[in-house]
Amino acid sequence: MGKLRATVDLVYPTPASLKVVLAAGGISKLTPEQRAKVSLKTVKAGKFCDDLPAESRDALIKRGAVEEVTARSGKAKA
Amino acid sequence: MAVGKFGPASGVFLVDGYNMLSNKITAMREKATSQLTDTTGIGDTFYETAPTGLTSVEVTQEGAFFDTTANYSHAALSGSVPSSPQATARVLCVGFAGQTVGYPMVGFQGTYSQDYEVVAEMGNLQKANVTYAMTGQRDAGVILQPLAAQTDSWDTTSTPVDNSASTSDGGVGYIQCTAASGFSGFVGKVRHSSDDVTYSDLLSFTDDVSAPFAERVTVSGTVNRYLSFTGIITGTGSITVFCGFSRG
Repeated sequence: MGKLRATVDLVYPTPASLKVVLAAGGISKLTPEQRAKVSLKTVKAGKFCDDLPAESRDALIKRGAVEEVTARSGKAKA
Repeated sequence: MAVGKFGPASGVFLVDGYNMLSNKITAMREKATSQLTDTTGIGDTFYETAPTGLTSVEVTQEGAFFDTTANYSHAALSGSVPSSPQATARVLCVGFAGQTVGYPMVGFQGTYSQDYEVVAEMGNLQKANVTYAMTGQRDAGVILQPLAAQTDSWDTTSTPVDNSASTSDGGVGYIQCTAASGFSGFVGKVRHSSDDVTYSDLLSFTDDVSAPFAERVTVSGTVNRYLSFTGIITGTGSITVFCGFSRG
């Protein structure tokens, strides 16, 4: 699989915080105490986002918010 | 959303970034009308009508104080009655259930201040009444960001609006900024998510810190289940912003 590149700005939990978010059932389900400890990462459009939560990956690729690019050319896969 | 009745404290009325409630309006009304045509024919025993598909909307505000303080009624309304066919339309948002995330709001495209009436009478302060007419469309939606002052970048991912499912016909975002000072940049964004884990930009409003201002931005395609608002600020200061979104 190639690298993942955002086509729009993305916000998602860091790998270290993802487990807490998933256990809660989503960012909005976090308690204030959990929310204070969770780190969200912002990825600007055009930047790589290989640490994107696996749970979100397919949906984001499907709607074009993330594209797979070949590592060498940097071009989006057809 | 809370279910039940609402009182005067729950009114929302924003026009071009002016908070019309600051002028102490005593009545506001939104009236949508569907044009009907008579379809009664010989043989019928009762009058019948059918909608033609044309609708009209009128919004009125009454009893506001005529106030020349900066950003109050005179600044908001003087000169706003169109004087030429090229007049700029206004951006208007109203609500009747309060300033709370997920509560209903209505935005209007192509809004003109059709009537501006200033009233002076004995024993009372001068008042100003306004009737707004719409040439475009009415966008019924929900509040993503209640009108509130912010001093740093923020987002509402902790309190997104959950629509239970995605929709496929795009949508319309409205932003109203009633006050801004100090910042050199402010970009408001509506973000969406299908899983409440990863949010992505759905639409961005124009970078603007010259309050009052308002903008309406449309987006096509899929709008995911969860919606949130993000304010990205450059510099130091304060900004007071409202945002609503209507799904297509």
